[in-house]
Formats: sequence, C-alpha cells, structure tokens
Amino acid sequence: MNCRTAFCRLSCILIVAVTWCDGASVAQQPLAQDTAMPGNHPPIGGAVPLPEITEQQLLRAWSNTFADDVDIDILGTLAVQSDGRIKSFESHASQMMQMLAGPRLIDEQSRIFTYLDLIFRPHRYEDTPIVFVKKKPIRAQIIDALRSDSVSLNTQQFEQELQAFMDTGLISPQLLNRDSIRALRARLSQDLIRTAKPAEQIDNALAVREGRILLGNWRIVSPTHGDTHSRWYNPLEVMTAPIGTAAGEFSEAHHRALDQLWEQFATAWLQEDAQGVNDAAVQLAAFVPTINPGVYPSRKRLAAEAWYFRAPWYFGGSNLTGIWVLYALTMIPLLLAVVFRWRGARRLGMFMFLLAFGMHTFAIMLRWYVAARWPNTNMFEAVTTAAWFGGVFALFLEAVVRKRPMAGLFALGSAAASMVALMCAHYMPLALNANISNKMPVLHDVWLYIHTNVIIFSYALIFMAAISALLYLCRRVLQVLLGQSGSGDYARVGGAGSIIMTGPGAVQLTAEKTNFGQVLDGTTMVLMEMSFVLLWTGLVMGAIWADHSWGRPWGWDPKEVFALNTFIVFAVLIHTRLKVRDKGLWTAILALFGTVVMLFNWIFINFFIVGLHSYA
Amino acid sequence: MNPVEKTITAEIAGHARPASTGRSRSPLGLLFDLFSSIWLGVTLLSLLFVYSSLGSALPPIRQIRIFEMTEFEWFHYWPFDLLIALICINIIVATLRRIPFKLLNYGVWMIHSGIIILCLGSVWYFGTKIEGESLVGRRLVTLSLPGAQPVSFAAQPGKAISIANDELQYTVAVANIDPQWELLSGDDKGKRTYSVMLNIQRRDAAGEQFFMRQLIADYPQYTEDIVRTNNHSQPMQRAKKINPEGDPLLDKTLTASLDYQPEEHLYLIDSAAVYLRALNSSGTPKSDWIERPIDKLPRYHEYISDYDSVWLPHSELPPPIDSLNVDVPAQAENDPLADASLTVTDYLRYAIMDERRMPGGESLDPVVTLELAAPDGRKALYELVARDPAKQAAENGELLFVWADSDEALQALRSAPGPRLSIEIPATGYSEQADIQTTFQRQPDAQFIDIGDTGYSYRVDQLQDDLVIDPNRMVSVAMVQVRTPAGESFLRMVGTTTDTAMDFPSDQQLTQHEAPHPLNESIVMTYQPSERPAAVTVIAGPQRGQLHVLNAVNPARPVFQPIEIGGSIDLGGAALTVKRYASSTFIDARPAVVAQSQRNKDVGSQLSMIRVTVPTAGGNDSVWLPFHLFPFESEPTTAYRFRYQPTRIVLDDKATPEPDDDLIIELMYSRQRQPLPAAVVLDDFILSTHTGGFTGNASIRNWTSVVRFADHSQGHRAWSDPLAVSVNEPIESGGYWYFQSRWDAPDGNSMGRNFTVLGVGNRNGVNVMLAGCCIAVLGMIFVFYIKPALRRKQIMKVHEHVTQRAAHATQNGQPAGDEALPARTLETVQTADKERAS
Repeated sequence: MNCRTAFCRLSCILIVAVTWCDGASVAQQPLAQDTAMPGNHPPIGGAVPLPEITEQQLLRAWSNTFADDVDIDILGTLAVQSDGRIKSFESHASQMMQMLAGPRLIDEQSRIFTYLDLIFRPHRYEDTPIVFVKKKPIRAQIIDALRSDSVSLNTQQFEQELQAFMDTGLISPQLLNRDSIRALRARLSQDLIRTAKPAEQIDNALAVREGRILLGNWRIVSPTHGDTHSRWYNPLEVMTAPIGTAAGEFSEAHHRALDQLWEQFATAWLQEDAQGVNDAAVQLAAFVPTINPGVYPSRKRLAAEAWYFRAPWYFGGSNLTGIWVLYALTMIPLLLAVVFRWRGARRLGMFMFLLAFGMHTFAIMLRWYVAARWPNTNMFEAVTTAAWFGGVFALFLEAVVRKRPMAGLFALGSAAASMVALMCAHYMPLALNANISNKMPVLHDVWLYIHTNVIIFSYALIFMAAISALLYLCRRVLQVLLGQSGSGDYARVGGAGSIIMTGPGAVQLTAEKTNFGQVLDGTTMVLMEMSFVLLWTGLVMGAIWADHSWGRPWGWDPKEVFALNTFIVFAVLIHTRLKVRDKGLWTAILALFGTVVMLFNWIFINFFIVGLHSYA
Repeated sequence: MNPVEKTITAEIAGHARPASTGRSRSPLGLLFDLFSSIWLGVTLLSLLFVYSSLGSALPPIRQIRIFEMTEFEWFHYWPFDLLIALICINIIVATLRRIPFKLLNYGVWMIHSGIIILCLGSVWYFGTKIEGESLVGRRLVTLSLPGAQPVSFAAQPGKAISIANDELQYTVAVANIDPQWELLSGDDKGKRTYSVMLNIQRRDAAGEQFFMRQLIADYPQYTEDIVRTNNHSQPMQRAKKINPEGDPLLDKTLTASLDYQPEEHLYLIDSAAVYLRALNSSGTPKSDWIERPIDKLPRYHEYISDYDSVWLPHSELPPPIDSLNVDVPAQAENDPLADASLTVTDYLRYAIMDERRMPGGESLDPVVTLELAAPDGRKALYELVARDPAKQAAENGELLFVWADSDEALQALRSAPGPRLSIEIPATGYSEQADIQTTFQRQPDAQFIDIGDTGYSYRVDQLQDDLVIDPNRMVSVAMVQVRTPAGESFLRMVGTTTDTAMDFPSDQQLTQHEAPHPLNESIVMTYQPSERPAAVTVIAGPQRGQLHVLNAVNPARPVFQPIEIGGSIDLGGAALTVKRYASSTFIDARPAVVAQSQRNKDVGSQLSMIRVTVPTAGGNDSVWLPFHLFPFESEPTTAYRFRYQPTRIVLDDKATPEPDDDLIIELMYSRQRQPLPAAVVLDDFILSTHTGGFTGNASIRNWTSVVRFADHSQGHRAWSDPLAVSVNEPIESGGYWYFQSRWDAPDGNSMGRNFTVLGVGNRNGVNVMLAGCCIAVLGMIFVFYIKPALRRKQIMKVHEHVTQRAAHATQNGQPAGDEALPARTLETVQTADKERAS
C-alpha cells in the first residue's frame, strides 16, 4: 500500500470520527452550560433543564433542501449482509429504521437517507423526535416524568412537543437520555412482565440510532474470496483492516477505489453537496458489485427487493399491501351481484376481483422471488399468503359454479378475507412485521410447508364461510323486520352436495327455484366442509412434524388446543345440522362462532400467550 | 318440506333407521338409547370444547391451588378421560345402531372408526409415554499421577481441580476451550476439532512451576505443553521448541487426557425427586445419588408453613399459610436413610436464597440503616455494616459507618482535622494555617480571603482528594484562586507538597490541555487534606446503644451530635435519617420469594425450592433445597451455568459418641430419572450458520449433536458409530427417540458447544394414531365429495328408468303427473337401498 492510500484512508476515518465527536459535543453543549449555571445545584444527582432554543431545528429546516436534492435511490439496490441474509440496502434500512422509529418516517425523509444521515450527521437528530415508543401507557409515564423533571420545561412549546409525542409516539434521544428518564427506564426494565420489553425496545432504538452501529452494520463490501457464506464487510472495516486479516486481503486497487469513493461520498455529505452525493452514490453503486462479482447477488433480485419495499402507491405502496383498497372496491359490485343478481355487476365484480387477485399474486410471487423461499415463515407472510390461498380456491369454485346461483359468492368471501388480511398487514406493520428474515432452524422441514400452508388455507376458508354466514344472518334479520315468511331456508343437499347433485344435467329435485337463503347456506357449507377437511389434515400434518421435531405429536400447546377447538365447533355444527329444525340459522351461527374461535387462536394466542408456536 | 326432500336429507345424513321404537324399555335399553343420541354427542363435544378452552386459554384455571396442573396433566385429568371415553361410547353405539353399513355411509363409518382408532392409539401412546432430557457433556479431562487416584472433571469453562501424591501437587484449571480448533499440521491438517487448554500449577519441595497444556480431542498424540518464558516478545513458548529432544511435553509425570463423558440417565420433564447420599467424615460421597421420586408436588404457587422461614416481597400480599405434607419414602435398598421417610412441607415456585442481617444474638456486629432523602422527594436506603469494609460505606465513601471501641476513639474521630491550607509569603516571612471553608462543590462566586495584611488574597475553588494519577500514585489537590498585591491573579493547583504546585491563567476554565504558567514563587502553599473519615460519618459506640453523627459536609464547620433511631439531620437540603440500628446482629439465610412482577416467565420452575423435613434422633431437621435441572454427581462434573448446590445435614447418632460416626447426608432436589437403554456420549457438536457465520441467534441454521451409544456387544466401553441428531431429524436407539433440544450457547466467558441437551422419549402407538387420522380424512372426503356424486348417479339412473316408464305409459294413453315423478323416484331409491342393506 502506498502513502497516498494510507493518507486517504486516514482522512476518511477522521472525517467520520470527527463527525461523531462533533455530534457528541453539540449534543452535550447545553448540558455543560446548564451545570455551570450558578445557584442551581440540586444536592443529589442533577436535573438538567432543557434548552429552549432550537437552533438545530432551524438549521435543519434550512438545510432540508439537501435531503430533497439528494437522490440516492440507487444505493437502495446495493446488497447488504444483515443477520446472515444478503438483502438490498432498501430492505436493510427499512428494518433498522423500523427498530428506531417504528412505522414512522423521520422528517419525511426516505429510510436510506435517514440511515446514512444518522451516520454522517448524528447531531442533527439529537433533539429530533426519532425514537418510537410503542405503548401509550409508557408514553404517559415518560411525559409525567418529564413534566415533574424541572420547572424550566413548562413552556408552551414543550407542552406541544409532549402532546405530539403522545400522538405519534416519537420522542428525541436527548429527552430519553435525561437523568429522570434514564431512572424511569431503569425502573421499567425491572418489571419483567409488564414493562421490561418496551424498555428494552427503547434501549435498542437508542443503540440503533448511533452512527457507529449503523455504519458497522452497513456491510456492503463482499469478500474477495470465499463462498456465499463468508462474512461481508463495511467500508470502514476494509479501509482500516490490518494487512493479513481477512478484511485486509483486498487488492490495492480495491482499497484505493473504495477509499476515494468513500471520501468523496462522506465529504459531499458533510458539506451538504447534494450533487456530489448523488454522483458519488452512482459511482459507489457501480463499483461495489465489481469487487467480487462471483458472490454478488443478482442486481435484478436486489432491485426487485428495493422496489418491493418502496413500491409506488398505485401498486399498493410498501410491501404492496395497499391492494386491500382494490379488494374493498371489488366487494361493492360483487355484493350487488350476489344480492340483486345483476349480471353486469357480477361481470364487473369478477373482473375487479381478477385484477385484485392478480396483483395479490404478483405481490406473493415477488416476495417469493426476493426472499428466495415460499413466504410463510412469519405472521405477515402467513396472513397475506392465507388470503391468497383463499383467492385461489375461490377462483376454482367460481369456475365450477359459474352457471349456478352461488356464482359470485366465493369471490365475495375471498375479497373480504383478502381485504381484512391486507388491511391488517398495511396498518399494523409492527404486529405483522414485513421484514424478510431467516427461518428459525426448527422451521426447516418439508412438513412445515405443508402443515402451515394447509392450516392457513383452512383459516382463509373459515373466514370466507363467515362472510356468507353473516350475509345469511342479515337476510334472516331483514326477513323478520319485513315480516316475511320463508325463514328456515337451507341447502337441502349440503354444501359440495348442492354443487355436485344439482349441476347441469342433473334432475331438479323440486319444482321451486332455489332462493337466496338456500344459496347462502350452501355457500357456507361448501367452504365449511372444505375447511373441515383441511383443518383436520393440517392438524395431522402438524402432529407428524411435531413428532419428529419436538418428540411428541401433540403437546397440548394453546395453539394446538384451539385449532382442535375450532375443529370441535365444526363437528358440533355438522351434527347439530342433522338434528335441528332451523338448519340454516344454526349453521350460520356456529360457522360464525367457529370463525371467532379461529381468529382468537390466530391473533390472541399468537400475540398474548407464549407457547411452542410463538414464531408462527 | 315435501317427503322427497325430507327423506333425501335423512338419507344424506345417514339416518334411515329410527333409533327407538317407542316401546317401554329396560334401564339398559334406555341407556343404550341415550348413547345412540346425536344430541348427547353434541353436548359432549360442547363440554369438551369448554373443558379444553378453560385449560388452555386461561392457564390460571388449571394452575389454581386445587389443581396445580401443567397442560399435560390437565388433559389427562379424569374428567377429560371420562369425557373422551363417553364420546367414544357414544360414537360406537350411535354408529352401530343408527348408521347402516352400506356404500353411501362408508364415509361416516370411516370417520367414526378413524376417531376411535385415534383414541385407542392415544391411550397407548400417552399411557406409556416417557419424556425426558439428557445432558451430555462433550469431553471429560482425566488426570493421572503415579501414586494418586486419577481424577476427572468436565471440560467446561471455569473448572479447576487438584491432584497430589506424596511429593507433588498439581492444580489444574481450564484456561479456555476452543470447540473449533483447526489442526495446523499432520495428515488431518485443516480439520476442526475440540481443544482444551489447561493452566497447570505444579508444586513440589523445590517450589512452584506454571505451564499450560493443550489437549486435542481424538488426537492424543498432539498433546503439548506451553511454557512461560522470560522473553517479553514471546511470553509463551511451545515446550517442543525448548526441550532438547523436541519433546512436546514439559512434564511427563502428570498425564492428562480427553475422554467421552457418558450419560446414563434421562430426566423426566415436569417431575420432581429428592436425591440423597451419605458422606464420610472427609466429605467424600460413600455412594452415587440415590433417588426418591416425589409423586405430587405443586407447581405454580407458594406453599409456606410459616412466614418466619422465608423472606416475603413487601410489594405484594403474602401468600396464605398453607403447608404441604408430601411423604417421600425410600425406594432403593441402599438408601442411606432407608427407614426414614422425608416430608416435603413447603414449596416455593420462584425464590432465591438470601442472607440478611437481623438484630439479635450476642456478638457485636453493628448495622445501621440510613435513609437519604433529597428535597424533591427521592429517597435512597443504605444498610451499612461497621465491621465489614465492603459494606461500611456508601455514596463513593462519603457516607460511612464506623464502630468506636472507646471514648478516646470517639474523641479522635470527632476532633480529626478538616482540610487545611498552609500559606507562606517568603518575601515578608508571613505564614499561616487556614482551615478551608469551601464545601465539596465549586463556588465560583465565593469571597476572596485576605492573607493577613500581605495584600495577597485567595479563594479555594475546589478540592480533589485521592486523585489517581497512575496505578501507583494518588494525589490530593486544592484548586485555589490567588490575587497578588500587584493585581495579578491566577489559578493554582496546590498539592500536599510544594513541588506539585502549578499555576494556570485564572480567567479560563481549567481544561486538560491548558498549559501551565510559570510558577509564581512569591507565594508558597501546601494542602493538607481532611483527616476525617468521610463527609458524613455515623459512629456507633463505645456503648452499644450509643450513636453519633459527624457531619462534615461543610468542612469548615463540622457538626458532631448524638443521634437516635428515627432521628434525622440536615445535610444542606438533603435529610439523613437513621431508620434502624442494632449493635448485635446475625446473618439469617432464608429463601426470598420473588415478587410476581419481577419473575421472568422463561425461568419456569427452575428457581423453585422445597423444604424437606428429615427425622433425626433428636426431633426433626428441616432444610431448604433449591431445584436442580440435573443432579450432577459432583461440582467438577457439572455443565457450565448449571446449578450444583447440594445441601448437607448432620444427623447425630446418639448411640456412638465418636463424632466421626455422625451420619452426614447430602440432599438435592431435582427431577426423576430413568436409565437409558445405552449410555450416550457426545462426539461432536456442529453449529451450522447462515451466510456470515455466527452473529447471534438469527444466524443459526441448524444444531447437530453427533452422538454415540454404548455398544455392549463390542465389549466394555465400546461405542457405536457416530449418529447425527439435529433439529427435525431425530434418531432412534433402543426404543427411544433422541431429539436436539438445547445447546450450549457462547457467552462472554465461553465459546460454547461444550455440551448438548437431548430430548429423549418413546412413541408407542404413534402409527396407530396416524392410521386413525388418515382413515378419518378419507372418510371426510368420501362424505363430502364422493357420496353426493354417488347419490347423483343413483338418482339419475332411477330417473332415467322412471322417465322411460312414464314415456311408455304416455304412449299407452295413461296420464303421468309431473308431481308424482319425484315420489316414485324416491320409492325406487329406497327399495334399492333396502335391498343393498339386507
């Protein structure tokens, strides 16, 4: 290595180091001033008043044109190694920033910009609300502690900040690091049952915000040799690596190029030279994959991953979950078609359903491609994939019954199920985390694929059955209100039976035309029968998996017990249907009850009861 | 509903035959009728739903004091068994009596018989289920020395052991363990294996010697010693390079080897047992652990026989007094207390042994509890122990508790001088000793004090006592602002001797990088730090009840005053209160029950404790026993991070006056065990990771234990070929299945992978259960999808037939009503059914 390179490396490291020191000293300045103020000496510990001025905020407001002018989307397609997975920087930034700011964007900046800005200019964020506190009771406790902290805080503006915190959940690191809040956090972390987890989340967020953590995890440089399983490096590691270590084996040309690019990038960023940053970003994005093209993942996949996390709104936005709107709109014509039997509405509804389902399919396939595995390993994937399975089945049944009174009902049920599933994924990004991660070792099994897919498929059908059961009940209520007779409608020959036995060419058993109540009841039964078989099959497959994974086929885990409970409800339904007079009514009621049990199992037990299935 | 529909519905449901004929029946017949009722089935299923919901979603229900059940126990409790039995009877009776065995009903028959087979399989499976865990250590280090018994210890971080003969004594400790040591030479160069580095201290008459020895698993020929040298550039050197013949060993007297660590038992999940063994007078066990299973122990609540035997959390209501009376009789013949039954009287779900000081006893050991209250309401409590240097002081030594033996000692403490400054003006010959007035905090606005009438004045800004400059040097300095008659002013750092003084410009705040001025030599100052023990000293004695406090927060105006329990003094804003004081105290060790809110759910019952009463000649002895996940034989054989705290009791044997004949018993509370069909050893443990190596749990792809089983057909201590057990891939051996259950994760002190925990269990009847499930699935498919198709075919056939006949009749001039058609179709179907049924 020649002197030039050595100097260049040193200067780059200094740039970053100085930034951090700078940031730290800026952050501490107000503290230092306050402690030096005469006559304000609390005898024990030190409560530090907040600075009222927001010089940095002004500065930021002025300089945010930089954020607007910077266009580094190209860096989103860089590959980053994170937790054993090679992912796009867009996806990595999204995951890290979610740890920090939860579902919120900081200053309306893109996540990759915030990520890099936190590396280069951490001081800008010291007094900015960037740390997300999820639980409202915790927010309230923090606010109380801040209010009683010091009299000088009780300004109008501070009250507004507190109110904003209560609403958005975002608070500045500076406030969280005050002595009183530190003490509160220490107290919260002691109560393991109630508050230790939120306290830990705050600690994690504060750690993630730090430039050296973010830079340390920005492993964008692939190793020069080794296979796809070798460790990747962050730029700083490469530049500072002593010769002889793994990271020190980059060629001099690589060193020089990387040093130069890094210097250019860092300098431009620190000087807020948007054009310079953009140019350096383009060069960096072009250079990094050339270091070892052998192990670098395909640009196409990275671009797809970056796009997936930042899809435009007309594709459903991030993770494509916005498709729920389309499903919601689909329900209108389908409902009209089903209730009033309008052919035009049915055609429009089916067309829209196909469109929505097509986009949904596209989202699932894209995720499959990006993650390089079938998406069913976390809650987000389970929910969206289950809804998709429901769609597949609905399309199949629609094809079977297209000439019959049931036409449109399956699409309607599937649209409703998909709408709810995608809405949940869209609006609860923390509960249904969309980040792509590794599978736990216990999930590497062929039976897992079958078992979980079959179970979530049956869940989707149960949910769809609830839609037709609900429609049936609405109809019955309407009949009662209108004083109409004709209650007690039910599908005479069961669910699948009413498709198979009354199909084209079959004998009409009765002269009268099937009415809407019978159609709805038949639909419920079709879906119910199918989910009955699938749920049982799924349970058995789960038992096979558990037998060779946990050593027992059945562990009386809450999740297992409630899946069995769902099955018992449907067994009760089938046998009750044999005996009661008003078969349609009881079928609808029990189908709805079964759906409640299923949802309880899926949602409540997953999130609130710890068991063997807590990862699914 | 017209008759057609009615019958067809009934047909589809498969209830062609009425259950009861209406005749008066015998009680047995009525019972028979009851059990063929579908409504009974629906009721039983609903009850099953309620029962399992209660047990699963609301753990508090199965956990209440009268149940204290795990999920497994709740679902094998007699009401559950009864419910399942009733459902089975119901299914059997109803199927036999109400559902004719014919083609269309094959589906229902299959579902029902599948479920019966499943239930029978479950009875077999759960009735014989054995489920446990075996912890298998990776290697055992065995040391042998001529003239001494060989000793062994587990290759785990932190282990140490001694071995000695008449002349030599070795102390051997594990320095570090590398589970992935790469062989650097030889045929297998590049292969990774397990390596243990030992620190060895050899002591003989000549003195001590230290060296290290590296043992490599499966390669005893590569064992070598590493020796300390005096060469700083290479402090450790391989013995091979030093020994003249290139011998890799420095010391051949001591041999060390790595052997397998066989495990012969499995320990049952959710079980409890007391293990005991007798010790001889030197503390060596006379036998292995003897197991006494405990049948029914609570799990989730505290069972306390009296509040004085435990520490209860203050924040919660105490649990009720509720003692247990669980007999634990001897089961084995060689039980050291064969005719005495132990009794479990107390159970704590989550507790830790805690030593607290309690007032009482005769010995002098003064303890004071002080409360420091800040003006803003914050409070801190301190318990200070005068005679324990480690617990004597708080707040960085500024709050101190001492014991004064005599009035002289008390007076000496009282009159210890505070910080002083001696000032000399050489030009005028003026000198003075001044008490420093300043407090501990910086006072930049304080007044300057004139130095006599020399025209000089000074102000002490800050005192820093016992500043550590380097490990060997501590200094005490005072920062003093000085003004000279010439109007000059500077900041002087005054040390305890004149040569440490330094001057700095006074108008700037002192920073580390400030360059000192040339020293102004017209004024000479030295600083004598305070000789008072602390800023606030609480003094007990010389009388036991006497308590004084020396408040030197303002060093210039120390206040010495007596203080009583409950009394408080003002420390310039904060208040110091004596909450409790006792001159005689003793240490009381009891289990402290951890408050509910502080309990970590993952711990489960691993911190539980029981109190066992042991009958003795002079009455009963009761001891607390903490829970052990595994009852290790001895400290050296424990696995890293596992507890090993056996409890000893000494039982006087009144018959023999010799103290050596006292029966010493060691007790341990753990889980029940069962012998494994063959001892198992851990040959290797492989951690496979995702891209980038191990960076935490998210990066792990799989854990694999490579195990071997004892193979007695090959002779004593012969091992089978290695078998790999990994997640989702169990192996079968001797009727048991072995699963990968836990692993030894790395932490700050260990690279991990020194042991594995295998799940062990049997699985009788799994295939029967599976067969039942499959039959039921096929039945469901038949009922829902095949049966309607068959029905359609039948109806179409009959319909065709009837239509032809009708057409024929019409040709013959007979009118054929449309409405009559279905009825006739039905009749035909029914006739056909009857024919088939008969």
